[in-house]
Amino acid sequence: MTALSQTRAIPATTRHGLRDLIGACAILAVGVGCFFLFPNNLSFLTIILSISLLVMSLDLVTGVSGVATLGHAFVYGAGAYAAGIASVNGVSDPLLLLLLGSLAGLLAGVVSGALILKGHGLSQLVISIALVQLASEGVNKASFVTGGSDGLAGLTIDPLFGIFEFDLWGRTAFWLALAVVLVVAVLLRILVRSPFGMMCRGIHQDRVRVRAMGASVYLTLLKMYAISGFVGGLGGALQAVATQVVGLDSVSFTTSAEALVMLIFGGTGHIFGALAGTFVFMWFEHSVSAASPFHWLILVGILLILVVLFAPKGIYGLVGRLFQHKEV
Amino acid sequence: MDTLLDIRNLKMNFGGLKVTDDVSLNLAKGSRTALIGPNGAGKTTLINLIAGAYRPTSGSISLMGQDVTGMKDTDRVRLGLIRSFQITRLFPDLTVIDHLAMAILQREGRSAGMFKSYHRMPEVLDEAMEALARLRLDPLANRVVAQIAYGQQRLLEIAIALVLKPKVLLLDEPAAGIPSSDMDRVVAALDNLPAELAVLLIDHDMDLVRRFAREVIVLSSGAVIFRGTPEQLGSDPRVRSAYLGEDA
Amino acid sequence: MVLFFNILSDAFVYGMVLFIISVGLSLAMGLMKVVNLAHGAFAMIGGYIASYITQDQGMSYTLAVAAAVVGAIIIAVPMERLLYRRIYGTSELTQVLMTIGITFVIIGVANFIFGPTLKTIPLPDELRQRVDLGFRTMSSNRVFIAFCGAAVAAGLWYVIEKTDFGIKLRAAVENEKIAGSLGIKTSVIFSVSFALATGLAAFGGVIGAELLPIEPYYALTYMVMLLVVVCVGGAGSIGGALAACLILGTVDTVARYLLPSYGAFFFYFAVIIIVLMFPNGLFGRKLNV
Ligand SMILES: Nc1ncnc2c1ncn2[C@@H]1O[C@H](COP(=O)(O)OP(=O)(O)O)[C@@H](O)[C@H]1O
Ligand SMILES: [Mg+2]
Repeated sequence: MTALSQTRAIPATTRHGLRDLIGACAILAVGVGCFFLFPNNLSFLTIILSISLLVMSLDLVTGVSGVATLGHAFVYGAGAYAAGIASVNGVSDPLLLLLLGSLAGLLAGVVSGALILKGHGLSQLVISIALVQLASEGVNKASFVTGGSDGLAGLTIDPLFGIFEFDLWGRTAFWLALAVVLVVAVLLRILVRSPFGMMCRGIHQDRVRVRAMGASVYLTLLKMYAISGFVGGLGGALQAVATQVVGLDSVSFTTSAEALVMLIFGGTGHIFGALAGTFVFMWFEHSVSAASPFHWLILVGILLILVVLFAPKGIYGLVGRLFQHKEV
Repeated sequence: MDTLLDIRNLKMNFGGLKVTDDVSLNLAKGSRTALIGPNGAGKTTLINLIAGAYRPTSGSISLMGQDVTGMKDTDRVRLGLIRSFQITRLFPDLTVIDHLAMAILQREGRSAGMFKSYHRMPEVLDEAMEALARLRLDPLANRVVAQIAYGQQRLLEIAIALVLKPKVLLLDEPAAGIPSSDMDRVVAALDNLPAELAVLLIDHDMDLVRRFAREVIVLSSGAVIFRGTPEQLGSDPRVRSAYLGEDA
Repeated sequence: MVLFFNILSDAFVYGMVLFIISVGLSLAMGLMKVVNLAHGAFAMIGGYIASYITQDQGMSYTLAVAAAVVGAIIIAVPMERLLYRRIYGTSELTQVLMTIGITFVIIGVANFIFGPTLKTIPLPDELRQRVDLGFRTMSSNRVFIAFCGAAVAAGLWYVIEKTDFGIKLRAAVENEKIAGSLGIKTSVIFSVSFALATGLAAFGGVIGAELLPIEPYYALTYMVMLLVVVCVGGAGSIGGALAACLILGTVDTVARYLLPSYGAFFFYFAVIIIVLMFPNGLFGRKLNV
């Protein structure tokens, strides 16, 4: 019996491991490639990487666990402002700031999860929107700590490990962001396959079945929300550290909705899809929206409709299909 | 104390409809009880009440001497009260073995692990494969559930219930939808259930009921109209009229 | 006391505008179970058309209202057939994505054609007088809006409770499959309801333009508000939509009067509390397991 189970099961693990490895190499290759190809766009690339953490974090609750939310920038903003406020108050070690931002994100994740998970369907969406709007208003009004609508600017950040200065070109920030994203992506892939991740995927597909196995849906998802908050907060803090600016848009409905669009565009539930979606979408936006915001809206709108109609599994699904055709 | 599940005067309605009408029943250790009745009699609703998916309007449920009437469904599962579903409830995108592994990990309180995939836990894999082999589902272990036949999904539904190691098992029409060529698997699985387990089986297949049950309860319009052995069943006039009279 | 009545009457008018625009969305969401984020975009189309007819063509307000409603319906019906049909019964996420996409396209196209400026819809003289309500004076436009809201509510009530179409509609809301098996053509019901919903949105968009100004990002600006209203009222319930609009209209107006700079904060706080208390909406049916 043991032999039987192992011959069937081991290929599955190696297959997963191989995919993770390919994914990690692809991230690294694209990152390094961009570094040399677009040396003048490093700060924009760094922002893409930061936002991709938000989108991956959204993937955990939405793509993996099936919670519909239009307010996930709540955790991103929590991380960004925590890092920004700490920096204004004298904390200048970049890694410490990232940690503080992540913890703030975790807290925001627990709070928003606790409320959002009380609803279902439409009420879930509405609670999530109301939360991010509430947070945005709150931040705007608490201008004595947050800088209000001006945000926080000119944060001073110590060199990374005491050696690498955050230079004008954004090289240090870029490498830091790339490393963080790489590590987080691989860890999250592992998380999604773990017993806990599998349980969340189960909840997404049939929560009645999960309950009949004896697992609490609410507590499991709340835990996932905490993890998701941590990752999203890390993204926000990363943006604060990298750009030395924190703005109101980091905690807005628009950012939340955009994150959702990027996620579905890239493909939900696989983490790598979130990355691909963020990268392609933001790059596209960057090049087109400069021309005219309304042309950009028309293009994105059509793209979204096409994705729903013809590629419901996003970029990741499309690429996956290509590979499957080759195997057959 | 041999009584595992004790239900007293359970009542429940949907709107004006009395779906569970003063039902009492008692499952002792090792009992094999069949619950039958025409469609819409309230059998599934009774299972939902016992499992904790619905709250009764009155009456009490106790499990191993403990009153669980107000207890959450998930806590009842942890006490060993396991159910299966009449309409299969599975995860369409997960593999067959994923389902078993999830159930085993949950049963053992290991479902919160965040790093190691169950593929690297030989003891979980072995148990899952054994459980599948008992229903001859092992060749399908790595298939995604959406891609296997409905009859096979029904068998998987049974396998999940069994792997949760129930003390009281509620099976809601486990044989419905299973092709007759595969019925022997269900019969064998039921025959091989641990002796001390208390089982409440709903099914319309009278051959299966006669073979399996030592006690039969007939439900009609939410109320118990017959209790007795399978042998007494055929001659009872109330049962005849419930099945033939009202339906005809 | 005067302030109290002022706030209350303003809140009432505001609530009525919200109601006219959102009741169609509530119906559509109850019937087709589709989260339609593009509903506000149809109100915006109505506003743009009305502004074009009155401002640019110098034609009458009445004609503008009619053209707005008809124009929005003409644009919406093919969309329902070609796009919305594909997302009925899919996950909320898919619906959100598709309808955000539609919203973007409508915003982009509308501003491409008519230019990205604030659109005004000049009122006829009859709607510019002041009416004495006893405790205050109010513009006749606002009285007209309140009247229209009441008329819409009464009209919808009549259609749904008293007409043949209403019976079929209710059957389809209750259970689409059973209605279909009874020979009710649900696809026709869907199209007609969608047309009705967009027509009402356009109507509300035009007559409510004084309170919800027609601006380039109108469809995004009020997207959240419309969703909130439907959620609080309970999808598919006209009474619920009316109650939700009046309650939320009051909360919003009171907050803006009394705590001008914390208005939005207070409003969203109230929304969270209400939604947590009534997750299925004030009048929504509780869904069974
Ligand atoms: N969620 C529900 N809401 C309203 N009525 C229900 C619900 N579930 C079941 N019923 C009704 O309760 C009665 C009993 O149903 P059920 O317990 O499923 O019967 P059985 O399993 O014996 O066929 C039926 O008349 C059914 O229509
Ligand atoms: Mg049943």
